[in-house]
This record gives sequence, C-alpha cells and structure tokens, in this order.
Amino acid sequence: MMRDPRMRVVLLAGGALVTAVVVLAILIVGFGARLDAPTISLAAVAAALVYALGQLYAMVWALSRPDQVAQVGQAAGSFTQAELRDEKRRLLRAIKELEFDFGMGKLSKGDFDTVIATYRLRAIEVMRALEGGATLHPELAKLLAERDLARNTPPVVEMPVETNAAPEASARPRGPLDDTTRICGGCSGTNEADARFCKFCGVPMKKLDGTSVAPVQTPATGEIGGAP
Amino acid sequence: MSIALAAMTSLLSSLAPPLSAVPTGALSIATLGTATILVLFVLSLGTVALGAIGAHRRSERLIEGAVQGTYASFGLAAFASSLIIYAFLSGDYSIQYVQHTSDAAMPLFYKITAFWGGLDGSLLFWVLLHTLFGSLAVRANRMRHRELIPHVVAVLATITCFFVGLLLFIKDPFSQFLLEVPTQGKGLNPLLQNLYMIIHPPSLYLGYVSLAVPYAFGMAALFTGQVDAAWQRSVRRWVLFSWMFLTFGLILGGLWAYEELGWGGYWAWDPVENAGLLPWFTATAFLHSVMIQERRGMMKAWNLVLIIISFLLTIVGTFMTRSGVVQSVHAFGSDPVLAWTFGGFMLVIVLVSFGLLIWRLPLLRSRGELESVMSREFAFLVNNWLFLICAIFVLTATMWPTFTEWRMILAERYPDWMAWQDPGERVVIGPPFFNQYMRPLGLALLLLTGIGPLLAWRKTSTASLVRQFAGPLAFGVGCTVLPWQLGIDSPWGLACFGLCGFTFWTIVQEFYRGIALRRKQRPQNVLEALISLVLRARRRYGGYIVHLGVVLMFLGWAGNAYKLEKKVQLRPGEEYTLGAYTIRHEGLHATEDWQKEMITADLSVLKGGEVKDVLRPARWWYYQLPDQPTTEVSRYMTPGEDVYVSMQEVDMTSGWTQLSLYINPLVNWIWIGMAVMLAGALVCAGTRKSEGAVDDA
Repeated sequence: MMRDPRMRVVLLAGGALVTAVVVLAILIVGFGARLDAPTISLAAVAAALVYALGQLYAMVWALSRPDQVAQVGQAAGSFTQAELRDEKRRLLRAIKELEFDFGMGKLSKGDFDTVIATYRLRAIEVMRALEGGATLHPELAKLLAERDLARNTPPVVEMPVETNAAPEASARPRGPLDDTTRICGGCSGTNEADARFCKFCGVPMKKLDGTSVAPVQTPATGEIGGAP
Repeated sequence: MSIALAAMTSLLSSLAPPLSAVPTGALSIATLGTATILVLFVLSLGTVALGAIGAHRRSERLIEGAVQGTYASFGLAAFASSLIIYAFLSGDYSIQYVQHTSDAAMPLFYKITAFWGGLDGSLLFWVLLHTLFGSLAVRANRMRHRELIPHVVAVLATITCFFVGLLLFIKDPFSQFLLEVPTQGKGLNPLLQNLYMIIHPPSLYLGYVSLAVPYAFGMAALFTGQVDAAWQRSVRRWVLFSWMFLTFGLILGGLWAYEELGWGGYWAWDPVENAGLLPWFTATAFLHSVMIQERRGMMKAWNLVLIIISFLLTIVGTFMTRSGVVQSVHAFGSDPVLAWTFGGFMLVIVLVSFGLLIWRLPLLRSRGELESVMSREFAFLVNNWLFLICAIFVLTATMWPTFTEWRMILAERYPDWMAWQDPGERVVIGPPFFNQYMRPLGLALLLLTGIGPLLAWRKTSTASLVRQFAGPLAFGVGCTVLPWQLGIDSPWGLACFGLCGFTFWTIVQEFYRGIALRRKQRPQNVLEALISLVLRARRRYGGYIVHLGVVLMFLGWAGNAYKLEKKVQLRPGEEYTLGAYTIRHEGLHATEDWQKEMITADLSVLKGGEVKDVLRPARWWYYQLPDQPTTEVSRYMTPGEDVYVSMQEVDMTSGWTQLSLYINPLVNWIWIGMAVMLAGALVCAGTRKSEGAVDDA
C-alpha cells in the first residue's frame, strides 16, 4: 500500500468529501432533516471524523512498516557539502550585489575593485573545494595556475573552517556529489542540477535542456555531505 | 484505533439527538468532544515520543509514525472544532461555552465565529491552527530537511501537548452544565459582533501561532547542530507570513478600536494590543537580521535568539490576555491556575531554548565580520537593537503595574520582610508614558529605514555618500520647512514629516536608479524595467514597498499631533464649528430590530457653507446586555482628514445629544499604509520557483 503521499492526501480529502455528501443525503432522505446550517455542519463533522480516522490509520500503518535506517543524526559540524554550496551561493550573490551597488553609484571604483577581487577569489576557491580539482575546467585551472604563479604562492584566502573536510569528499573520482548534477554540453563541466548557466563556459543550460544536458542520478543511499 | 472506533460509534449514536437540537444522555456532542481532546492529548504525547526516539535510533519507521501523528493531530483538532461549531449552530446549550458565547438570535456568521469569541474556544482554535501549520510545515520540508524533521515534529507536538493539556485539564470547551441545562444562550458580547472582530483575532492568531514553526525549526537546528543557513530557508517565508498576519491583525485591531469604541483614537497601548505588538517587533528584527546571516554568515546565534524570543513573546502575549495578570478592556478575565500553568511553560521554554543555545554556541561562531560602520549590515544591526529595545520597553511598561501589584501583595503577606520599602499603590501607566518613549524610538527606526537602503553591503564609499544622501536630505528638509511655514509648530510632528520625506525620497531614488541601470543594460521601457527590476530582486524591492507603507503610516501618525477634539451638547437645529467644519444637528430617530434598540442622530457636515456629508452616529442597546450600550461611530473620510463623531448620551424627550467630535488629520493614510505594506510583503514572499531562480542566478 505504499502510495504516493500526494495520492494519499487526495484520497483522504476525497473520502471526507464523499462522506459529507453521503451523510447529508442520509440526514435529509432518511431522517427528514432540513437543508440548513446545523445539518450541513453535521455533515462536515462526519467528514472531519473520516479525515481524522484516515490520518490515524496512516500513522498506524507507518508504524507497522519494516524499519530502515533514517538519514538523520549526523554528528554536529559535518555539513561540508551543504555548507559549501551555501557559501558559494552567498558569494555569487554578494558579487552580483556588489556589481549592482557599484552600478547604482554606492561604491567608488577603487573600493569596488578591492572588495570584488576578494569575493571572486573566494568564490573560485569554494567552487574548487566543491567540485574537487579534477572537475575544474582546463581553462579555469590554467587561469588559477597562472594566478598562483604570479603570486608565487597559492592564493591565501580565509576559508571557512568546515571546508577542511571538503578535500576528502573531493578525493573521490570525478563523480556527482549532489542528488543530481548536469554535464554541460558545451565543455563537459559538471554543474548543479538547478544551474541556469554553465559555470565554466557560460553557456545557458536551460536552452540545452533535453538535448545535450543529461541529468545524472546518484544512488539514494548517500548521506548529505559525505559517506554514511 | 479502538478509541477512534469508539468515537465513531458515539458519533453515530449522537446523530439522533442533535436533530432534536437538545442532546441528552451520556453520549452527547460534549462527551464526544472531550473524548476527542483526550485522544488528541495522548496522540501528541505519542508523537513527541516517536519523534524523539525515532531521531535517537535513526528509525525511519518511528519518524514516519511521528510525521503521520502530526497530520493525525490536525485531523483530530479539526474534528473537535467541527463538533463545537456544530454545537453552536444547533444551539446545544448543555455545553457551557456555547451557552456563554451565543444565543439563538445571533446571525449565522457570528455563531460560527463565536467559536473563538471566548477563552476556551480560542484555545481550541489555537490548537487547530497550530496543528494545521505544523502539518503544512512538516509536509513542505520533510524531503528537503530530512535530518531536522523528527526534531521539528517533536517540538511542535510538545507545544500541541501543552495547549491540549490546558483544554483537557483546565479549560474544557466541551464542559457541560451538570444540573440545570439552560434553554437560552447568553449571547456574544455586542462589541465583538463586528466585522473587524471576525477578522482581527484570527489574523493575530495566525501570526502568533505560525511563529511556533520557525521556533521548532530553530530548536531542531540546535538539537542536530545543523545551524547553517538550511533551517532558515525553511522558516524565512514562515516568519514573513507570520509578520504579515501580525501586521494585518494589529492594524485591523486599531481600525476596530477606531470605529467601534468611539474615543477617536486607534491605539491606546492597552496590554492586549501590546501583546500583539511584542512579537511583531522581534519578527521584524529577525526578517532584517536574517539577511545578514544569508549574505555574510554572521549573527547566527542572534537570529536564533530572535526566533526564540519571538515565540516566547507569543506565549507571553497569550498569557497576558488569558490569565488576568494585567488589567485590560479585552482580557478574558482573571484565572490564577492558568497564570501559573503559563508561567511554568514559559520558564521551561526559556530554560530549554537558551540552554540549548549556550550548548551549541561554539558552532554558532560568526563567519564574516563588519567591514565598515558605513555598511548596510551595521544599519541592520542598529535596527535590530532598536526593535529589541522597543520590545523590552513595551513589555516592561505593560507588566509594570502588575509588578507593583505583586509587590503590594508581598508587602501584605510578609510585612516583616518588606518593611524596608513603601509598597505604594498599583501604578497605572497610560498612553502618554508610552508615547513619550516610543515616539523617539519610532522616529529613529524611520530614520534607519531611510538610511539603510542608501548604504551598500559591506562598505560604502565616502564620496558616494554625498551623492546618495543629497537628494533625500534636500527633500526631507523641504518636507520639514513647508509644514512649518504653513503654521504647524509641533516639533515631533515636524520631525516626523521631515523623516517621512527623507525616507520617501530614498525609496524613489532607489527605484529610479535601479530602473536607469537596468535600461542602460538592456533596451526596455520604464514599465518593463520596473517590473523586471522588482521580479529579479523581489526581496529587495518588495522590502522597499514595505518601507513605503511604513512611511505612509508614519504620515498618519504625524497627523495625530494636530488632532482636534471637543465634547459638545447639541439639540436638533443647533450647530457647532470645529476647525474648518461645521456640524449641524438635523434630528434624532429611534429604531429597533430583533436584536437591539437603536437611537441614531443625523448630523450634517458643512465645509464652506456646503453640505459635504450626513453622519449618523448611534447608540445601540442589545436586549441581551441592556446595560452595555454600544457606540456606533460615524465619520466623513477624506485623504486629508477624518471628521469623526460618536454619540455619548442622548435624551429622546428633550433632544439633547452629547457628542464627541474629532478631526483626525491624515489618519486614513495609516490604513492605506497597511495595504501598501502587505502588498510589499507579498512581493517579498513571491513564489518559490522564481525565487530559487534568482538565488541561483
């Protein structure tokens, strides 16, 4: 009886509605009641009862199922991937906002350049940590290498503490880390499922949807942010 | 299941009596209702246990059981509520609550809304909404935040348990008359038989009750240690909806007071009004500070504190309204048992929530840091402090009379201990005291509303400061000088006009520059650019629209400084001139309907010798409560001012009519401001799909 939850809701609501109509019919035809507010509300009472009983039954049914290990109870602080993705989203949005604020004239050119350089670098770093070096687009890898060479040291960027665990995650061979990832048809870079543009070559992902962008499913057993 | 089957059989056996309208015997609606509440209590306890044990053992089976238990508790609450509504509609006066709050002559609509008209029913209504919101929140988030869900369910079910426990042990809405069953109802308080009162309490309730969901998610985040931004994504929208309902409920309450109570004002700093305002302050603070956490990873602990305090304040508000610890026109009456129960619950919330918070403090370290004082983050920070100060001030001032009363009681009971100090009297803190302190706080917040958007996130250049502030400052100064030249001299009023102008121009400038920037980037006409601007950054521009509403409301409050009021006695044919208007008494007439007797006065409103409108203030005497006549206000509304008349005393034989006349400048902008605020909030809430697109763009 493993029904779709949505189906279950529809069934319950439908059952309650049918009950209401049936009870109303019985009251009017069987007991000779008038079709007034109390009678209608009595039908509603019956519908609510059926709904409540249905939900109680669903609860009992859920408890009678065989058990399996739930995806809960992760140790505190081990939320690398989710946290990294948040950080990435935050940085990208920050860059966008900075550009907007600069366009609105709230920042001087000098301030804008200093602040945005820091954020760009951090965004690149976070993306690298997310994807692992292996999935970096060759162009970007070259660019980063040049930058590193120019400074003669790897870019010193204040990284979030939690990202320490990221290299472990990225040590896996190039593979999907999320629930679903999409490969860009243009450059074969790995992007998030909900990406609208490829982050390596900038080609809009939506337009390629269904043609060259193939969703890649992950096994459902993986816990959020690492091995179980 | 067996209990449920018993419930079914008892309903079947109770089918016959309701048709004869007065149920008798053991299996009545009342018995069934009480039994349902009992089942609901047991179910909630079970859900708490299932959620907690399921999370501990990582058992999918137990967690799914707990989730289904949450849905089932809504089902049972809906069943209990439908029972009491049925009792109201069928006139089952064997139930005390039904007898106290309704009568046969009440219109159908009021009979249904009498459900939440009294204390016991309002608690059941609370449970209904709480379980509904709990179910919706769990359903929406169970796939996205699987790891939080068992904890969320357990916290929500604990809260359900508390309120259902109140219903079961202290305030059973289904309790019956044990001896003589009355044949007639007492009727709902006539003051409550009003359209606003039908919408206003549920709206506040929706705001209050829905704040439990963010609290549950916050607690779950603390339990699991997943204190990143994930829990906030689930709750941000909830808080926004709570905020909308609170705003709507509060202002509707003001409108009710304005139209129904007849004292010419809309906000009297009554404890119950304040109770609704307190969580509003902290929820507003949260909506601002959550942006800092989203963008900068800062203020994680602070946001949790705000959520905890907001939820706590909803319980404090409920406690103040229902326990009788504060004296108020619309408190439900004194009840020491309820007061102690609520007190205990609040203590548990404080200890558990803040205990957890302190335990998780190492995880809540800030990620970023303030780069400059001239940044939007800092403006938000100050805004948060001000909102918190407002909340603390209002709470303290509201509770102060009660504290002094407790001191008196202590001094009476333990004269030896308390001899060192003078117990004094019960202090009364009136509106002037609140106004004195809240006025500067409100204006400071308005100033921040203006400054905040002009600052960039992270850092604002000094050079651009001038460019940003020049326009708004000039407009603000203009808005101060112009009214001053027109003869307005109240310093607070002038300051308010100036700040309104400043903030208004900020918003205009933000929209103007945003549109200009967008048109520079792509060829669009102004309207297209405006729409795409708002849609691309819903929260930013929705927020500005909310701010515009705030400005309009402040404009309405500024008008309060120039209010005219006069109590006059007029006989038919006489006139009185107040401000630019002349009021002429045209006569009185008495009418009655099946519920009440009414005496209505016809008053012409003249301006410049021309009749603008005919006002009809009235006094109504309900047959059920003849010693509590209600005052029906009549007003002539214009964008500039309201001519507001209420009838105090009337003598039908001589025609003497005592009237309270008011001219309230700009007051209607408050209601317009509310509409604008809600529209802005709707833009912010937006749809999930498009917001996701913006987030990831």
